Amino acid sequence: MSSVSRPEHLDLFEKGIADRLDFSFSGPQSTRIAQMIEDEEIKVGNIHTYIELYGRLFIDLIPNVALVAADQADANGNLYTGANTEETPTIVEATAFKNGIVIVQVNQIVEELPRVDIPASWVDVIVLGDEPYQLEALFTRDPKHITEIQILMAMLAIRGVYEKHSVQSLNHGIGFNTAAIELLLPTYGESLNLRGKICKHWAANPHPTLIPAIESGWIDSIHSFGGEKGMEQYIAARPDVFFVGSDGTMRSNRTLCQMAGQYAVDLFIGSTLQMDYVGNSSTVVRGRLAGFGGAPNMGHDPKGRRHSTKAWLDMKNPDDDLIRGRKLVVQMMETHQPGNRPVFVEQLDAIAVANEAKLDTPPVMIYGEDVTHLVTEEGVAYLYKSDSPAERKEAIAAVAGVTELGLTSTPRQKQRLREQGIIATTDDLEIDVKKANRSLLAAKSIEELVMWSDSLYDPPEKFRSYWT
Amino acid sequence: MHTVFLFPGQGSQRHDMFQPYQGTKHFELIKQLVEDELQEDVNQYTADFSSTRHVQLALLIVGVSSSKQLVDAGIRPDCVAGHSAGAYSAAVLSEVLTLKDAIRLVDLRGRLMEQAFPSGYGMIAVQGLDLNVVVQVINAHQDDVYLANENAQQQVVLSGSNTSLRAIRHTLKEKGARRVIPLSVTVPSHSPLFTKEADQLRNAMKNITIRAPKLPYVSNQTARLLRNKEAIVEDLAGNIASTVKWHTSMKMLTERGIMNFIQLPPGSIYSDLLEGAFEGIQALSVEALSVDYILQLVQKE
Repeated sequence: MSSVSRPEHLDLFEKGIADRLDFSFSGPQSTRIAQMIEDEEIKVGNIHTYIELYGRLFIDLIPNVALVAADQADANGNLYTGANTEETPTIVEATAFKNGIVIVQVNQIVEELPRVDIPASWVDVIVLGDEPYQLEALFTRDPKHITEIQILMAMLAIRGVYEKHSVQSLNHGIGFNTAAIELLLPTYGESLNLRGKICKHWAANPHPTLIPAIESGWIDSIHSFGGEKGMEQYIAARPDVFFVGSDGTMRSNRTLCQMAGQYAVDLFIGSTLQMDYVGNSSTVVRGRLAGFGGAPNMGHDPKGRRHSTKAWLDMKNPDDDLIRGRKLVVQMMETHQPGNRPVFVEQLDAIAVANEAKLDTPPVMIYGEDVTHLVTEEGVAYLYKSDSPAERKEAIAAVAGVTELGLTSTPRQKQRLREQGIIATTDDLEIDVKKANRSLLAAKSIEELVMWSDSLYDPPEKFRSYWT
Repeated sequence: MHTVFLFPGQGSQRHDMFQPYQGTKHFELIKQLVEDELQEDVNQYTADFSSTRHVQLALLIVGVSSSKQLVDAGIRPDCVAGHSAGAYSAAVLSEVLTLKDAIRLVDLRGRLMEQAFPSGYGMIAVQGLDLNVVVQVINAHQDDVYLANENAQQQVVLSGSNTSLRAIRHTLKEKGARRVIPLSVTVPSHSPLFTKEADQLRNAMKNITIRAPKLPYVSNQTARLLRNKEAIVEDLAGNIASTVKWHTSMKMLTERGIMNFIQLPPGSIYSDLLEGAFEGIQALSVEALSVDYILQLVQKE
């Protein structure tokens, strides 16, 4: 199961119907899953990256039975999965072609489908649901909640990473940090004259905060892992940017988009709850086992890559005759979480969690060796330039602020690292800190996103409640 | 699973807490039962809070009367959670304990706690510092200081000797705690200093008849949903000697799909703590809202 997201998923284990779980993501059930592993109600095979888990469906975790959902079926059993196609074709294919049984819950049975996403011959049983399958807006971030520190960090990322390396293609996750970057492209990015020079191709969910950048002509293409509630009409009107069928609705595909995000983009940027002193990071903290979503696939350097771009080549080792670049893997976070909890820790909680849950390996989200850049409110650390673990730790410490690690960094060390270009501050990047305020956001509220979309974006109810 | 009843523990008591229930069916029945069992006037409980036994019995009386009144009005919980002493009210509503046994046990619990630490001990509340950072500070500290309650991600309570609590206060401030507040409590609740008393409660519970719960019960000690009567009784007996994992319990309940968190009187601190801590839930205080209104909100789900 790639995503453990509903109470019923874990009820299966509580009731003793299932006992072994291989999965990727469990954010919405992170406390309960940690408890059940501790109580030995669940035996965890492994916590996978998405592509790894999808891969194993064809190798040694071949399903006997698959339970999936679709929007519509026709009388022959063809399926329309539309914007929320996600990993359904992968699961169905692994099952149907190896003697398994495919059971599909559909919202509707219709005469004629908008298009066929999964052919009838792959499907064994169709069940008409008594209510539509649950669908939640997971990737919508209300610009209202973006802080000035996040705006400052977004400026650092645009200037110190995206512009510096001419990043053409990238993935953004769902945090407020990256939402701030998206909303700064048409304002701050424009003032740097970067339109058409960076951020043209995306492997990303259809975040509503991308609308202003799309409408300002920044973005050529976006391939998506899944759909997003409220974005349907807007996407239908922008087939020049999104992947849209001839019927006018988006087709997502999590497997292919993860693979694209792993192999075909210049840059991955994400946040973490903890980072150790050499740059390993994890969102697994004591008592909460959330898994990782797409970060481990996209947040690592796929060593087999051959095609070159400027950003990729910027990461090369200048002394190596076999010229090989690297994926840009950027970690971006404030030095403290709410409640004054430092992000930088000597040892990741993931190590203790692995011991307690008897996992073979600690659930590390992104390995330190893959991280090329670190962005905090203190500046940018160009970790790819450091040539020893000790120097790497120094560079992380230099942007770690008032944390135990940060306090080990002396002014002399910082000066040397700045001169060597291993770290850069707002001064070094000529960023006007005074400009880091909310007026720099292309949209400051959901309402303004709707305006940018020409009223095509239809935000879900819970994001409307603030409106007067 | 949609609805949970939350029963407050010590700290929520108020001198007028019986007032809204005087003359109501359940209150008068319980009052009579307490007076028969313990041979004392219940009004002294709310008059004098210097005795923890008084406070705990008063909380039981109001917790049980108010929750039964809600059930009568058609508001039915899918599970129950009580904070510390409030767990006994939860156990009564889930029918693990009879009301009579609960009265005797709370009376004993109060007596044991009063006898255990006559002076020199207390509790402090720490606000604005992440739970995990507080735990690190406690672990690095030499003296006897214990995590008593994790009430929210940034609000915890520590127990220990007054000397140790004074000593740790400085470190907590240094690590970024916004406020460190001494509580008007004279016992180090929810710490291993109460291991002996927990054992005495365990022994007392061996002599009563316990029944299978009609409603699942949320454990103070483990933040699990318990459906087994022995496990519930162990939680009731042992909770004075271990951390109340309230915040983790609330998180676990949201993950199970609980939408309506209904806090019973007195006070609204538990429903207030939930506001803003979790998305997509309703935190409702019985004291602040009318029963009819709560019924309406719960039925909307």
